[in-house]
Amino acid sequence: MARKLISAGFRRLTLLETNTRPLSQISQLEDIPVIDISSTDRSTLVRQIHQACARFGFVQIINHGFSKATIDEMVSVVTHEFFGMPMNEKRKLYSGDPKKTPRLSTSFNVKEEEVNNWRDYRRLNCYPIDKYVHKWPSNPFIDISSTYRPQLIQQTHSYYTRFDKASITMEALPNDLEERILLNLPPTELGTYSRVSMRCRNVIQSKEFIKEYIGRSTTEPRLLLVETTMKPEVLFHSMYQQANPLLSGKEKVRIPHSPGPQLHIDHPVRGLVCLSYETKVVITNPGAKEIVCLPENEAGKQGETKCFLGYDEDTDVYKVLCVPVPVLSTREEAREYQVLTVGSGGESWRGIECKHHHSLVTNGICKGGVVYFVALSECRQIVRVMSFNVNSEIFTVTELPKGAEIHESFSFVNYNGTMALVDELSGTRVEPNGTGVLEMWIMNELERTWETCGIELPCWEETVGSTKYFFKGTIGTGELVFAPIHWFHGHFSVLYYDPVTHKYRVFPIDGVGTDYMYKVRTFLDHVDSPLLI
Amino acid sequence: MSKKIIFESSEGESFEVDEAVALECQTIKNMIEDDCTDGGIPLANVNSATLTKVIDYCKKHVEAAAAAEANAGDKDIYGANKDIELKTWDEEFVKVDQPLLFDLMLAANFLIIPGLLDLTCKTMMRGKTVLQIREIFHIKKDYTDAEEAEVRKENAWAFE
Repeated sequence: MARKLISAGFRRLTLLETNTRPLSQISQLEDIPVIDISSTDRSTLVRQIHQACARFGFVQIINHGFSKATIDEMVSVVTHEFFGMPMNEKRKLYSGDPKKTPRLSTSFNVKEEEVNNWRDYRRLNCYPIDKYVHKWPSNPFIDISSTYRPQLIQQTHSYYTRFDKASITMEALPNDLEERILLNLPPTELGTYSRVSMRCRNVIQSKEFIKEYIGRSTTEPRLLLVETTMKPEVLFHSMYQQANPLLSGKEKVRIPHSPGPQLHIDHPVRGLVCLSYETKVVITNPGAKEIVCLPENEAGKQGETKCFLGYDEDTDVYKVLCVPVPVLSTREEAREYQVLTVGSGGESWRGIECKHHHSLVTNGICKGGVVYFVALSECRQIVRVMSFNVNSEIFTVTELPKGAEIHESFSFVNYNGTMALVDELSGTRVEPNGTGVLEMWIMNELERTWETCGIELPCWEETVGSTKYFFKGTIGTGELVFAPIHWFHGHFSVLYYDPVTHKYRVFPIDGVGTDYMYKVRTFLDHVDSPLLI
Repeated sequence: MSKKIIFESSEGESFEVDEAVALECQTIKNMIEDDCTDGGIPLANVNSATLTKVIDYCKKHVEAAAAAEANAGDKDIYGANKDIELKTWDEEFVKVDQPLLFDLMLAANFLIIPGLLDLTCKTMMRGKTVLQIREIFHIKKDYTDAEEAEVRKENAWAFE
């Protein structure tokens, strides 16, 4: 076995084939990390070692406290005296078993490697020093100098105490634990973390983190209630829509200085909500309590407009679309469609062309990179569905089914994964026997065809009493969710209906409607987002 | 009588647990499947105080899972209450000092106990201020005062 040693005693002019590694197995490493271990900046030091170990697996240490004389002495002792020993002396110390300490060997794993490294080594374990020190050489040929040993003991002790885990740092955590901690934080606390340091901020704002965070939140979707009252403020209430017990994880955010009920509240898109009023447009992240004001919208000066937030997953881009609203009063109608790309830096509104000039009728919804809304043709006679592709900025027109009387009180909802138009004003029709009938138009987004759908709601009249509940869509459990819109002093509650068991569940929501008169918009599948922090 | 597994803490103290409890740790589960747990499992990087807590957590969750299975039929009424009870127990369980919480997180990461890992991660930074986070995790402020003021600035509301 010991014949494998390079220092077997033969003088060679060329390397053996068993010591010649093919080029394909040789990596070309440059900039091997050099670390100044005497540095007092502990967290930087820890980060440097962590990065070096993750990328290379080893480091070069400088300013380690061993004098040049000691090192030279050590090298000369080891190289000349130790490797110069007779073969039968060295054979006693040779071992191919990596667990044996101390030992003399070559390569990394003599038993398995076909090509051996071009070096022999003598390994002396040194931590914990008490466990190994008695195994250190006492061979008369070699007695490692009296200066080296105490110095080594002292140095290793000092390194190990410095890096003891008693002191915690984020960078020194294994296996992306920092990310795991952050993924478990609510958005408001991510905001706190981003103020800790620039590096912390960069972690939260990385594309990967944002994607992972939103993805995780999608598995626990929220119900978002946006409440406007006669006071100049907007209140956001959110809670888990599928939790057991339901509606836990309540959060409430108050945004002051809003125009009240006239404020246009758009459907949330990946945790963000676009609010607009006249020329003012803002995007909020209610979970994080953050607001970003967009530049004033000039089209809003010409006439009434509404803004929709859209998101395109492929390009990871958010855009706001501003659409004119038909007005019956003397005020002129805005003519122009405008778009603003969010987060582009120096954001500004751009007018975009729409071949089919239509003005808005219903609220909009963004799905799969497309913003849908119902609009009125220029001659004000034909009502159609407009779809705006967020990436290409192209409008497509879909005709509504013949005989469908769709007007401004209609709204798009998610019905078991497909888009449906329901009348938010007249709500559910009640049969003489007290059964409710929920009617909606379901849209096939690919073929752009429609079918009508009626759902029977048994004992509707006795369940809802005098409350007017409107359909808001379905959730992951298959339940249909209903909520009121306007309310005059009283408890606000949401109603769930399970079409399989025919059971209703009513959940009163505390803290909503404390004002005399209020208006609530209810959205499903809202998520938490780390954006805008 | 169920099979027992013996853990050995970093101090060399032995802890005997039911195999079902040990199976909560994915790392140990792999070792049991590979049949290399005879003579005890040395956990050189988990101290006795931490290991005691880890075993408490695994025991509680094994019992809770068994109880949930026994009452599977009454999930609506009974199961929901049990879920709340376990959540409350978890919340109490992580009310420990920061170093122990940190050790628990590292142990959960090493032993691969996803529930405990999420629980400790969730608690680690909850409700801490910027200054507390800097202090606990030894993070140096790399913002200049001006940058910090920019980041901290309150957003003005547009409709004013």
